[in-house]
Amino acid sequence: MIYAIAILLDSAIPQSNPQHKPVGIMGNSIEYIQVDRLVMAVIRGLNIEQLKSSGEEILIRAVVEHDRLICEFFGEHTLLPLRFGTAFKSQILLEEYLQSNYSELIIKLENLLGYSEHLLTLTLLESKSESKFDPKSEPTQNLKGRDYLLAKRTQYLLEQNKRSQQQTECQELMLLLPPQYQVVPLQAGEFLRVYFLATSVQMNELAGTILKWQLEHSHWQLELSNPLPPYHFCD
Amino acid sequence: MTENLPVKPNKSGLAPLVMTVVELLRQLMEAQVIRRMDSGELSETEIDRAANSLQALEQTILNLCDVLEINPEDLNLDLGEVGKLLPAKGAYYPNQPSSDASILELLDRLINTGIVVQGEVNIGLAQLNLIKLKLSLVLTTGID
Repeated sequence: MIYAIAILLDSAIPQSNPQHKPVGIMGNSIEYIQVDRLVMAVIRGLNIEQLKSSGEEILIRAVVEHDRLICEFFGEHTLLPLRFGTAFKSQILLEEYLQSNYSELIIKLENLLGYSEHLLTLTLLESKSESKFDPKSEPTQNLKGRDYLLAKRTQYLLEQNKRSQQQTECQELMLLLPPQYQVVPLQAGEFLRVYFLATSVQMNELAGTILKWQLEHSHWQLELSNPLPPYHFCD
Repeated sequence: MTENLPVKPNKSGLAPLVMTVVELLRQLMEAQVIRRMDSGELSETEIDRAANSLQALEQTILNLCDVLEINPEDLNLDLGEVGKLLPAKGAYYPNQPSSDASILELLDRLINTGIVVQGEVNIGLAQLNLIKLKLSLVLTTGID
């Protein structure tokens, strides 16, 4: 069984006596299997099924190490990260895979040259009066009869206007991002969660633009991740 | 000395659940009143009477929450992927599009449309059917 970590270009193969060679999963050494310009970083003899049955703690450690390896490779080379658990029964099958998908993989890697993935999250900062429910401050508190019910409609319209404004601001922010982005499901409290590809030059420009946007929209909290391997742009 | 710290007794018990159901019913009735008000089915007197009753019920629920030390926000259960039980403040108005789906909205729209659910339940043991339930539920808006 050959455990696969990432697909790289041949320039990623370390020359003789490399000063820095990543340590593989569970202490196993990394090897490189090359087909023309494509290289797959692998670990021989790592039985993933055995790992899965070795308990949750060991499995989690292996997952973390898999990700660490991808990040270490990505620090120096363009790559296509492979999912945890990707394995080939033999070197022949692995080479066949690289050969049969050669053109597609080369194009993907070349398109990713110089790019890294970034995560941008947008969270709405609610004022204390908005976030804390206070019955005494409800707009319907002192109203009676029809006015009480009409106030519900007013409250709805105000809320819709506020949401519409937030959507507009969110779309304006999206326009600032580079064209290759992917909006993903939100996590708790988030208004926007988007992964995008950018070069370091684009990121330098974007940092200033985003800072300006943030100063103009202080009710939002923006978070921008460090460069990540292109997890969301390799399929 | 943690053993000397006062322990807050759990006074509420099942009360939050009961209060949640009452608040759900109150908001459902409010949505139905608004629908009828907007469609001109209610007289001014009926609107005032209904609004005052809804408001009084809302105030009673808030007072009870205060007595039972329940945060009114906790009445809105988070049902995971299904969504929240009640809509957020100002998020839903009958006959209008809403941004956040809630169980209350679903029920209000179902009541407005009207649904009939029929079913049969057989309860038994040792491969013997011992109790048979025939269910027929009609959910629709009330007719005066």
